[in-house]
Amino acid sequence: MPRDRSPGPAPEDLGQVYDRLGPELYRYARVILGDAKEAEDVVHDVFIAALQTTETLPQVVDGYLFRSVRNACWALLKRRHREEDRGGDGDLLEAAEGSEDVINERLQVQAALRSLPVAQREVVYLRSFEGRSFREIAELAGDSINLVTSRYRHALDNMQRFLQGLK
Amino acid sequence: MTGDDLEQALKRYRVAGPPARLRSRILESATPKRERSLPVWIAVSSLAASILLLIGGASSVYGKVGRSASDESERTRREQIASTAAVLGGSSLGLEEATAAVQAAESDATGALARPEARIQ
Repeated sequence: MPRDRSPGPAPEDLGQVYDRLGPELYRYARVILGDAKEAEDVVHDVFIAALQTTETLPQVVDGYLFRSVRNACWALLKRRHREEDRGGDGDLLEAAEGSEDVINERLQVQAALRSLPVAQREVVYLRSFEGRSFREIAELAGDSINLVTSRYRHALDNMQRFLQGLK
Repeated sequence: MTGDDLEQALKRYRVAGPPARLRSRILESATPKRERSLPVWIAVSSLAASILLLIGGASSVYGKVGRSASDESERTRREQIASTAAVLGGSSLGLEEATAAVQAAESDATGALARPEARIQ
């Protein structure tokens, strides 16, 4: 039986969903793509696509939107034929709430993060910045927990090496 | 910097958030899709209004035509009575006789129309 498609949630509902998930989805896309404008476009397109395919966006599980953003980002990277962070689109990192912005340290960590392959950058973001468990990251990425854990360890090693190379 | 130091350093920062325009951009893009159903309502309302106007107009015209036909037959009837009364002398008695004669003629005509054979003839 074909599914009846309603026009979607009211704008205020959509606004609430955006306020809850939008910024995190944008940050996720920006870390994967390394490009602020492309991240903005991806999040916009994912929200609008979700509106067209779901009857009640507020009830959509968060994982659906995160997987959609992830898939869109990787598809975009595939079209680009290169994974590296584009850089040059402004500061990727900013001081967290309640933390002092030590500019030199921030720029070094930012450069180290940008030096990583996308898959490693993604797991560092989800684990260190969003506080996700390895199980959650594995489910989102469609990989095993062991692979995700190993990828995270490799990412930290690579970042350390990068930072040591700066000295 | 050790691995632990690096993890602590990462916790002091966060990835820069979206520009404020992204929220309004998404809401603006979503709004036209929600309003796609609006022309349907406008069309339905217009159709209903048109039907009501049509029915009202037809009813009004029907009433006018009916009244016009009725006025015409009444005028014809009065003229018949007046001409018959004139033939009968123009007195009040003549007027009564003329009225009765016209009514009798109308009854005959109505009776003839009610009979199929009369319509055939």
